[in-house]
Amino acid sequence: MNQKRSALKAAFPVTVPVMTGYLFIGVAFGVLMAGNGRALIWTALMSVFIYAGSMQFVAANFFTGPVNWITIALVTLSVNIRHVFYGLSMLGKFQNMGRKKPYMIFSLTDETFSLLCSVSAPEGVDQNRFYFFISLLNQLYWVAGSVLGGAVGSLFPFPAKGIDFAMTALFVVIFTEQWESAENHLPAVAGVLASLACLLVFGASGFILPSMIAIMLILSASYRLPERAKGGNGHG
Amino acid sequence: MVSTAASVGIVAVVAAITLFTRALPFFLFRRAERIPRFVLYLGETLPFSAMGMLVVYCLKSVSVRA
Repeated sequence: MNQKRSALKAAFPVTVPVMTGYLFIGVAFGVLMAGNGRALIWTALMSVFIYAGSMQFVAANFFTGPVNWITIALVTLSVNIRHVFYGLSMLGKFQNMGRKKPYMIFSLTDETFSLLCSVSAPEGVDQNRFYFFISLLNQLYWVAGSVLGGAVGSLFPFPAKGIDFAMTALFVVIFTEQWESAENHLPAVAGVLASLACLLVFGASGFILPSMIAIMLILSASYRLPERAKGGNGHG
Repeated sequence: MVSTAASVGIVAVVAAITLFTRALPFFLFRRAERIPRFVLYLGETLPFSAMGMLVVYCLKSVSVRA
């Protein structure tokens, strides 16, 4: 019990930036759903079972019909395919999570991923519990924010546009911290440049998949280089 | 506005595919000792690239001309 409490106590302060962002963006999502005339239960169901911020904003439009299952499936796949990167990055960290592992995988959002790769548990605190509470707290904020927004939004109109900038600020801070901690800046530079290039070429709606492919190609190329320099595998 | 059954279907499909994108790497590399070295390398380097991509993703709709 005490172990759990110390992990929760250590996890909470780490999640505060995400709490601010998720409460605001969650409220914005709830307000949007209420504005579309959807009952609160749908907002709650989506935040509990889908739990993917940008996807939920996109999915809000699916309810206006007509329903095309193929389109829904393909749009969801293309909006969320970036999660594959997060899973690849967390293979090691989640390896010994035991019963908590399925929830850790389910709840791997952009924000949770960014926290999990930038923090580690303080001395004497169980690492797995610490990670678990970060993930759980984040989802609680999201569910709370969206339900609050859905409830309030059905009472009065609420301008929530632009509030998601809180999240962008968090990503920029974490990106900067990672930059300072890394010896090799190539992965970070590749991530930014490949995404920018693909954004220019493919436009805002379709640049994620090409960016992922470009990043993989750049990282693969830089993986082979030192091997050759060592004279290990030769040129194949 | 779609029916209740269709709404349940929409939530289920979006939830299932979202979970699929999150779980895929864990299915592909279920056994730790079988994870290829290249994938371990990706696990070490991708967090940096992914965070850069995420920053661009968030700023995608910002117009420089605004």
